[in-house]
Parts: sequence; structure tokens; C-alpha cells
Amino acid sequence: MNSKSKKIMIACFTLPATLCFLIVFAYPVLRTILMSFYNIDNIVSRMSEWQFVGLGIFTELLNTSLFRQTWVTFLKIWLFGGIAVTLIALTMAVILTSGIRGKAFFRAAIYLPNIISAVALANMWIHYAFNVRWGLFHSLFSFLGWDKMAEFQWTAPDNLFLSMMIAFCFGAVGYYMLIYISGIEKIPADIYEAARIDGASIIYSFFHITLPLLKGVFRTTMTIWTTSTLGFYIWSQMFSSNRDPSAQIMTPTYYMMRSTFGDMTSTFTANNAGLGAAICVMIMIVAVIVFTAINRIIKDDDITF
Amino acid sequence: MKKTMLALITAITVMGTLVGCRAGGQETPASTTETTTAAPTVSVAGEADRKGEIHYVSMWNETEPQAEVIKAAAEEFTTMYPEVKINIDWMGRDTLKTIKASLDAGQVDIWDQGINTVIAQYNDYGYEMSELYAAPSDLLGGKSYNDVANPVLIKSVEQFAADGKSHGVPYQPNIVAVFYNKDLFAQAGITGEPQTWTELMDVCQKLKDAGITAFSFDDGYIILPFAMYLGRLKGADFNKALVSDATGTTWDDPAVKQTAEAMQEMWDKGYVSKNAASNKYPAGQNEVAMGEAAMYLVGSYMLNEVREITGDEFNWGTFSFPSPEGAVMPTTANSIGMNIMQIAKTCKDPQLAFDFITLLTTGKYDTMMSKQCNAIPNTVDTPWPAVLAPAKPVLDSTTENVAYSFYINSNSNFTPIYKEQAQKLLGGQIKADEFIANCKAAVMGK
Amino acid sequence: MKKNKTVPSVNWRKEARLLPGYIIITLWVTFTAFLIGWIIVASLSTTKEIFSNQMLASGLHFENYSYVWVKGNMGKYFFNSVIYATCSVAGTVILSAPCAYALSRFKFFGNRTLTNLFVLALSVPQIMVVLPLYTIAVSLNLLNHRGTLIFLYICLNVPFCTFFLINFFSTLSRTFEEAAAIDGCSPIKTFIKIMFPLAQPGLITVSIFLFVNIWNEFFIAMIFASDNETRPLAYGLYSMIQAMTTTGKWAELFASVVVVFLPTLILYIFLSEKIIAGVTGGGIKE
Repeated sequence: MNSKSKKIMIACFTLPATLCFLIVFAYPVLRTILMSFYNIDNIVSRMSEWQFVGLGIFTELLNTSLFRQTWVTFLKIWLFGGIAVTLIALTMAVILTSGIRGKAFFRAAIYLPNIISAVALANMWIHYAFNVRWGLFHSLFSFLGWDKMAEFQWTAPDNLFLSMMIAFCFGAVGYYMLIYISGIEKIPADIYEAARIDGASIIYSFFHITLPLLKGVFRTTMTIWTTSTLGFYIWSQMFSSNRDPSAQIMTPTYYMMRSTFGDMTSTFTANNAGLGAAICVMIMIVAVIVFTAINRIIKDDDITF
Repeated sequence: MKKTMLALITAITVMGTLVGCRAGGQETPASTTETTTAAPTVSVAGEADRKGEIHYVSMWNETEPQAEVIKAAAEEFTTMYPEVKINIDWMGRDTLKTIKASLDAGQVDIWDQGINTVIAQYNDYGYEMSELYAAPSDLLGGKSYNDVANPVLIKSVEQFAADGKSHGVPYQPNIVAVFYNKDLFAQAGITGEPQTWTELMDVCQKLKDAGITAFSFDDGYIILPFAMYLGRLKGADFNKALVSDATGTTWDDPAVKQTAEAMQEMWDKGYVSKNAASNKYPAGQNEVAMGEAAMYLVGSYMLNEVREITGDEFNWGTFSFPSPEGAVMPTTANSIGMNIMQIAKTCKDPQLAFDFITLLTTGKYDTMMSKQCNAIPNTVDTPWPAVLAPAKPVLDSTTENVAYSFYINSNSNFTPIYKEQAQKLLGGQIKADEFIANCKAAVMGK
Repeated sequence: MKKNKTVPSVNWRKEARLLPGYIIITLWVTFTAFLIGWIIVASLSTTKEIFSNQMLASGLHFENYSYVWVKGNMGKYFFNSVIYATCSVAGTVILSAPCAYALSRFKFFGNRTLTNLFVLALSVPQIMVVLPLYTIAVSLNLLNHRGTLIFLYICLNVPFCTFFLINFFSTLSRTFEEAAAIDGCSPIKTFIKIMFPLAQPGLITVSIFLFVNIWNEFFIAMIFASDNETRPLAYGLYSMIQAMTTTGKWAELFASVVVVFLPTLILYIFLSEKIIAGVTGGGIKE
């Protein structure tokens, strides 16, 4: 192939996408970093109106107990939610690839909550599933005679986080399950066949064949999970009330939205765009750290079939 | 094949839930909408020389009833004065995201938002109103705006502003008070409305004896009871200091202990709905609307919110949040919220803009607004919509406006924590001491 | 297609071994059905019935739907969402597919860097970019324009789409291209004539993913297209919830939830097999 025409082709093919990247990722990220060093009264303030404060906003944020708590909340979502979603999604994926009937139907049905907007799902959970008086869990546990469980106050402040996580993870499972299924199905069937002939149980095959061969998939899912939990916002907003947020479910992103765009109902939020930018930068730093760690731990030795 | 199966399961899903539902229940009466009766038209004399353009950035969506009234008013105004043009942008509540840029660029003549936001952040952008308020207007039959408008509202705007001056016209007010079910009160043999905390506790006891849950709360407004009790006891400035006191010593004040214990007592004595800690808005107000609890502390807009449930037959009563013994803030001080129409400083013809606002917020259109949107009227003469009528005595008795929650929400880094603690305290999950200790620690940044 | 297979007799031992699996997923799916079913039933009840657990006691209330569609403006938002989702998906795929092809097939200077940048962009939380973009949009007076939102959706999704397609292209056999190259076909022509059709399962998968995501997208729409004319369904739903404080129409709220959800469900019912076929590589495997 003519090398010049090849170069032109590569340029034509890659430039538009690269441009998108530059406009919507590179420039904004750099500017956000810059903004985080300034006090900015209003997000649309001109640069000349910005006040340089160095790392002032970062120290101020780190001295705010509510903000520190949002990171604890994030960590809990990331870790516990991550474990729960991974376990459930993997279980589902293994079941669905084990040769059961109606696989396509079950797969579709489990993925279904993913296509419903979070706003809708959250309302359903709050007003139906978790209702103490006639909710789904209440009715279910009453029916089973587990009266203690039936009286459980799902949406009381100390349980709100748990409830929110159940709701969020329930929706997330299907998505990760699909990724795991496609990962498992890429593993050649003859490996399992050989194992079965050797008398290995399903569980043995899972731990000794499936898991090790899914390493690359885990890296993908962990990356996606981290990004989505760092941007965790709408569930917190929905599980708070119409007016004031609940401290235990506030995430860094929610805190950022509240301080940048203001609270609909409260006058007293900071409304400092610089503060919002600083939070974004912190989130970015955490993202970089987590991704580096993931890449270190799960090496790039892609298993190819 | 699989498509059909999935479609089938969707159908089955619906059926399944149908079966799961408890059947029966009474018919709900269709809620009746109020018909607009002809209101006296404002007599307009002369001065047909008005001309110019008004650009109004509205906080309403075009589909909302408020927008219909505003549109009608704008149409009449431009018909009366053919040389006036009114351009309206229906932005919805999100005006705040763009308004600063538009104000800076001088592109706006009138815009509106909730009072707190406008006064706290945009006071300097607004035209000062006192002269316009005082001048007699042909649109008001020779009276001035001051003569017709509700003085409490106008005073509120001045009182909240940093410079003590009015930079915007208030409209669509609401008031925070205790709303109760008169029938349940009667059932428990209660005749009067409680003025003091002791009387309120008597009322609660009587309700309890009659087997009625006295109070219901949900997380929407649960920050109010503690805040208003303490505010009445020590004043709003005390609340302000309390939530921003990094040393935490304010929390050691005996008044704080007294207040927290009063809240705890309500739970301990069984006056509060057992779901208070876990109720998510609107579960609490719905308990009252369904007749399962007697009282709820909230803004008057609640009456409108629960109308789908209560219908128009519900027997509502209202009283101002009672004052504890030794209170410094009497029951005539309440929280009145409102929207503000601000005339931008850059507006070329403030008089013209004000004339339009005058037409919109008084007389015919004030009546129309309160009828169609179930809002409290701006002027003293306008009749109240029936739904909100119970709140009228409280508003009329109010002489001082204190910000929502008596400033307990003035530290945005504390409010979310306080809210949870208040839920736990009123929902019987923690005691007064724990509540104080937790709040104190949070204020001190621990 | 594959249905001409004779149904094998049930292997009961195998089925028994799988029983725990059946139980788990059946429970899960039943649970899902209850939750989603409740939303649908709530949307056909009155507000009072919802909050007193007597749903449908007074029959079906289809007027909830006409209310949200006409008075609630959901019809308009629906139209917006259709435009946003279709235009953005088309734009994203048109920009990403060639790029992914070039990155997966050719070695050139900056290839690895560019791939890594896209992967990096994949992990940039969206809030990291919204503030400056918002400032630009306000200063250029581009806020609340349909084009702005479509442009943003395209740009924001290009890295994901490219990344996805790089992986997909690398699973495609090179034999056809090599054959085409031998026949003297230019690379661009090869791409359009051979690779694009071959890549269809992957393109469809990613398109559906993107479509559903954009359909339900809320965060960017809230910031960049929230006014009455331009807001999409997902944000319309949210603003309706905000307006609950003045209306209290919860039954109508759930009706609008169904309005938002139904199109994706229908799409999903008909295309879920394609999604899965795309994910697993379809019939391309030799």
C-alpha cells in the first residue's frame, strides 16, 4: 500500500475523533484544574473576576467534616457496592452460561433495570419497595412471618445508605453481568469439557478456569465501576428529600453540584465555582490513583485464545 | 419467540402486581377545580403614552398555571398600550444558571426567583423600589403600590436585604405553620388552638388518649420543630450562631438542652408517628392528608400538594408554631416565603416595567393568580383561594418575617448532618444528649 | 434460523444439577417484575390510591397518560429525546468507527498514545469537564440549544465508542481486507465496503448501548438543555418531580416514568438478541 495515501487515510480517520477528545476532554480538564486555584463567585464569571487563592480551597475543603464524610461514603459505595455487584453479577453470569434453558430471556430480564432512568427507579424504591407501612419488603417479610424484618425502617437515617446501595446495585448488576457473560463465553468450551471429563465440579471449574481467565474482564469492570461511582450523584439526590440532603449518602459529586449550582431550596450554599473545580480535581486524582493501582495489580498480560 | 416471551412477562408482571394489590377501597371523589368568577377589572385612567420593550426572564414553565396568568396580563398590558412589547422567556426554575450572564450583559428587564436567592446573591442587580412603591399609579386608581400591597411582604424584602432596601417586588407568598385536621381535633374533644408549648402538649395528650397520632414528620421538613422551638426561645440570631459556632460552646446553652428534651419528650410520650425517622417526603404530610395523624409543620403550599389526596372537603386548621415559656420570639413572628420579581438596574424604563408588575400582582390578575395557582394573594383586598384560606389568620397575625427554619439551615455544611440528627431525635432513635453531642461535634468539624 | 434443531429430550440429571441456578435467577427476575410492575400499576392509579396502597381500586386511569403527554409536555420532551438519541448515536458512530479501525489495524506514530488517551478519557468523570464547557456554552449563548447537547453527547461518547470498536475490530478476521488489498482496493474503500458491513454486529451493539444511555442521560441535559423547549425526557421527568411541590400529582409522575421507560423497553425487547450477538462476536468466529 502506498504509504502517503495510508497516512492521509489515517489522518482522515482519526482526526475528527481526536478533535472531539480535545474539545470536550483535554481543554475542560486543564481549565478545571486551573479553576481550582481560584475563588470564583459565579460559574460564568470572567477570568478577570477570579481571585487567586492557591491551594486555599483544597485546605478549606479538607477541613470541612461534611466534605470528608462524602469521601468515606464514596469509599463505602466503591468497596461494598463493588463487591456486592461483582459477586451477584458473576453468579448470574455463571448460572446463565451453565447451559440453562431460557438463557436469552433471563439475560434480558436481569439487564432490564439498566434501561430505566435512575430517577424513575429511585422513586419506585423509595415510595414502594422501602415503604414501612405497605412496601414490598414489608409485605414480603410479613408474609414470611419475619416480623422484626418487616418493621425494619429502611429509609431511617442510619439505614438510608444501605437502602440506597440495594437500589443502586440492583440496577447495576445486569450491566456487569453482560460483560462477564461475554468474557466467560470467550473462554473456549473445550477447556470446560476437558475439566468435566477430569471430573471437575462447576464450582471447581469456576475458581480454577473461569476466574483466572477473566482477569482482563475484571480490569475493565473495575475501571467502569470506579468511574461510575466517582460520578455517583443522582441516587444521592433522589434518596435525600425534596429539600435538604442527607449527610450519610452525600457523595463528592453531589457535594460539588450543590456548592456550584446551588441548592434549589437553600440560600446558604457556597456557590463558588472554584470550590466545585477543586472537588473535581480531587475526584480526578482519586481516579488516577485507582486506575494506576488496578493496572499494577492486574497486569497487562492479556490472555488470548 | 423470545420477544414474545419478554412481552409476555411484561404483561404477567402487571397482572402479578394487580393480584398483589389489596382490592377494595372507597371511591375517590373527583377533585373539583375552582371556576374563575369575574373579578372587578382595574380601572385604568389615561396615560396611554406608555411605550417601550420589556424583556422578562421567567422562573415558570410555559405549561404552568402561573405562566397562563402572566401571559394574560402581558396581553392586556400590550393591548392597553399598543406601543409596549413584552418578550417573555419561559425558563423554568433554572433561571439561576444563566441569569448572571444575562444581567451582566444588560439583557434582562424583569426576572424572578425565590426571595432568598434574589436577596442574598442578586440584591445589587435590582432597581431600588421605594420611589416606585410610593408614587400614585393610574393602574391602581390613583393609589400607590404601598397602599394596596400586603405590608408584611414588602417589609420582608427590606428586612432581608443587606442594605435594608427593597430591590424587588414580592409575590406568591407562603407561610410556615402547623397545619392540622380539625375533625380529628374535634374527635379528641379539643376546642381551641394551642398558643404555647404547654398547650400544644395538652393537645397532643388529648389526641393520644383518643387514639390519634398527634404529629407526623418526614425528612422534607423535619429540620423545623427543633429550629422553631429554639428560635422562639432564644431568637433567630441564636440559631444562626449555633450552627456556625466552630467552638461548639453555644451547644452547651441550657436552652439547647431544653429544646432537645422537648423534642425527645414528644416521642417518648407517643405523640409522634412511629415512622417519623424513616418517612421520606411526602410520606409525612400524606399521613395527615389520609387522616392517620393530626398535625404537620410545613409551608402553606402543602395544602395544595396534598389536594389530590384530601379533595376539597378536608377540614384544615392552622396555627402558628407555639411558643415555649420565656420565649423571646412571639407567635407573631413566622417564616413567610415568596418569589421576587426584580427589575434589573440596567432596565431602561423601570417605571414601565413596574407598571407591568403592578398590573400583574394586583387586582384582577392577583385574583386570577391566587385562584388558578392556589397561591396566597399579594394585596390585602384580594380574596383567598378556599384551599389556602386556613392559613389566612396566621399570615394576618404575622408582624415579623423570619427566614425559613429560623436560620438553622444557614450553614450548608451542617444542614445535612443536622437533618439526620433531627430525624433520629424526633423518630425516637436517639436521646436529647446524643443529639446535642452529635450536632456539637459536627459543628466543630470533628 | 436456528429453530430447525430438533428439541433434545430433557436431560433431567443435568437440569437437576442446574436447579439452584434456576431458583436464584427466577427469584431475581420475579423481584424485578414486581418492582417494574408496581410502577406500571401506579401509573394507572390515582395519587390517593398510591399512598394508601389501594392501587387501581377505582379502575384504570389512562387519563394520567394524556395529562403528562399534553399538559406535562412529555410529548415535546419525547420528541427532543428522539432527536438527541438518534443524532448523537449516528454522529458518535460515524466519528468513532473510522478512528477505531485505523487504531486497531495500522501502526503509525501516536497510535498507542491516542488509544491510551481515549482510554483515559473513558475514566474522566463527567463532572470534571462540565464546568468549563458550561462557561463556554453560556458565553457563546449556546445554552439550551439542541445542537449543543447533541454535540456534547457525540464528543462525550466518542472515546467509549472508539474504545469499544477497537476491541471489536481486533476480533475481526483480516482475511477479507488482505484479499481486498490484493485486489487493489484503497483502504478507505476497504473500510466502507468491507469492514463497515462486517462490523455491523459491533456497531449495532454499541449504538444500542449509546442510544439507551443517551435516552436516560440526565446529568449533562440538566446542565446544558434544561429549558422548556430543549429538555429531554429524563430531565423532564426530574423537573416534574421538582414541580411535585406545587402539584402533588404522583400518579401522573409514574405515568411519565412509564413514558420514559417504554420506548427503551420496546427497543430492548426487539434488539436484545442483537446486543448479545454483538457482544459475543456473532457469527464472525471461524
